Amino acid sequence: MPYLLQQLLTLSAKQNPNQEAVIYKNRGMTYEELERASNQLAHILRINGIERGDRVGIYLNKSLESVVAIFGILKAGAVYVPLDPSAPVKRVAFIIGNCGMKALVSTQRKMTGLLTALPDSSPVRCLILADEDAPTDDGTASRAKKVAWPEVLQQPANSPPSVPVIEDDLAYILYTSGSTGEPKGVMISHRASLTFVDWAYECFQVQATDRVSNHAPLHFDLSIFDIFTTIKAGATVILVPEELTIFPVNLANFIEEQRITIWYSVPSALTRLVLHGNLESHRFPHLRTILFAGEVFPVKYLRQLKTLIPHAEYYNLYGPTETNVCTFYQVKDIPPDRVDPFPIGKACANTEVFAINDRNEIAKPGEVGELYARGPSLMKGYWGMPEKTKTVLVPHPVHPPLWEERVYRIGDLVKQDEEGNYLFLGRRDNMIKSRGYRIELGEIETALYSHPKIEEVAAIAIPDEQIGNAIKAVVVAREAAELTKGELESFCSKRIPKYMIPDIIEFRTSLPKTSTGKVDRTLLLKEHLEGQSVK
Amino acid sequence: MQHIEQVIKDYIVKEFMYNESGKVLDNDLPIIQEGIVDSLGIFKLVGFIEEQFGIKIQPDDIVLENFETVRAIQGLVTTKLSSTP
Repeated sequence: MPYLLQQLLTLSAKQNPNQEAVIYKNRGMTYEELERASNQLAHILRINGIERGDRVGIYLNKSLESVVAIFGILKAGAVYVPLDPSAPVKRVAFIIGNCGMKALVSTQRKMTGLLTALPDSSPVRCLILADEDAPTDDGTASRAKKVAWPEVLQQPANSPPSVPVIEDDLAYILYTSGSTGEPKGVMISHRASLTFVDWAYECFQVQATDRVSNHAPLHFDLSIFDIFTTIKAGATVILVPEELTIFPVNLANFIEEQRITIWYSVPSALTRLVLHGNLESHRFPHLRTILFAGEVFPVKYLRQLKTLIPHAEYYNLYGPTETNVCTFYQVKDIPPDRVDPFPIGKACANTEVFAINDRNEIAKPGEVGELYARGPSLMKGYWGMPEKTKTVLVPHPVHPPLWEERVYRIGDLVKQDEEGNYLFLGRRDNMIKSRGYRIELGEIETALYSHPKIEEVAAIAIPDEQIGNAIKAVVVAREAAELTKGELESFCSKRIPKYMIPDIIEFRTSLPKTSTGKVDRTLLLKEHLEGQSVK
Repeated sequence: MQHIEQVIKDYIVKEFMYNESGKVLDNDLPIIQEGIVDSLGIFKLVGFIEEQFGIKIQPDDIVLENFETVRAIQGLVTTKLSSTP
């Protein structure tokens, strides 16, 4: 039984070496090729001092090399940290420093921009450059040693280096939005990831003949299903080129041409396909399963999608990065008069979920409670944030612990229906979802507060049918300071990812306050919805 | 011709390139591949073009080939203008 993620690849490569493992545009790699290339990368990382548990970043656009990097880093006994290739370099540099990243797999092109933001004290001492023709000495001042891809390909390929790793060791760290203004790294072990991967493999009966889309970026936890469940099944991962995700018509053609059988994405990507993808002109005969997660799928678009692609099975998956997917629900018939979103469902195999009401008891069906998850799929904690970790990985709130067990406090409000399915009702705090991205409004406010001309700011979420929530910033400038929307957008773009930049910016002379002196967000939202905000 | 191109360029620079000090927007810069216009930006851009030039962009027109570069967008606009009575 495999107990490490990389063993999934090695096993599938033994069973069917000539099967295609991953396809990107007009290039592909067989299982044998992926196995060998990742062995080579693992060796070069070891030669360059990477040891068990070290963090190695992946700073690449989608490519075959990015998949080689995932497995190569794991085979070196290290922890892979996928970095958003489109994030501001400051944010990327923060993450590199935060988790003490010793090596990076990137390209010369991408590194040129990043090096300007990396401080001299950066922990990175080795750069593996995946461009075919990257020079190893280009004169850029950096203490890190550069290794070109041809050198990687000279390493032994038949077997990975021998590193003693166990299932409790970390496999990857995924950074997500943090309420205090800095992203936090969710640490996931091999066991936690495999708990989800094994369940998904069984539940969706993934076969070697499947062609599974990878739409989500690698730093987004939806990619865990795409990569590891597919590799476990000996099936083929089809990397969706980033530029196609922008054009729904091209994307719909791609799904059909590539004969995708299992699709997984955020609902807003599917909504875009429904609205702009011209789906009527396709049949998608191969598409058998459509999975979605990350936000609520508006019933009206889900119904349209089901009408357009009636032969597929539809599943709503649910769970924050910290727990992996922890509940799921199969959407069957959608009555014409239904408007309520579908439930998040019941717990996945080897996972327990329960809700706690405000009297600190297990909530009964129909009663509102806060959702908790228990089981081996939970994260180990936030990197370098033991205090923050303690606020979410907590002792069981009801049953006295028999051992030092921790359960995860998700922070979502739910209630259970008569069939035992959980319904998502909302958040307990200021975390929101927009376009499937998880965003802490506090992180946006912190970014804006760092602007010298800003006196006060409140970020609020405006419900939006197509993207879940639009972000609005209400800004009070310092006395006599001239501020423009463009200036603030530009300022934000250097600090936070594009999807966090406010869609709407409004200037005011003061912010409304509640009786306790807090910014009255409810009033701000109400005023916005009524369209009568006073400038 | 010159006019169309400039209007499109000005808009892209203003809306999407405020953080791209090192890049120069010429007619052949691959604005999609470079990540200048992303999935959030494309429909903003389409809306702008429709309003600015008084044309209707059909869903079938919103494809990579028509938006890869300023030159491609200009081609799309010109075609639409000449087919509008």
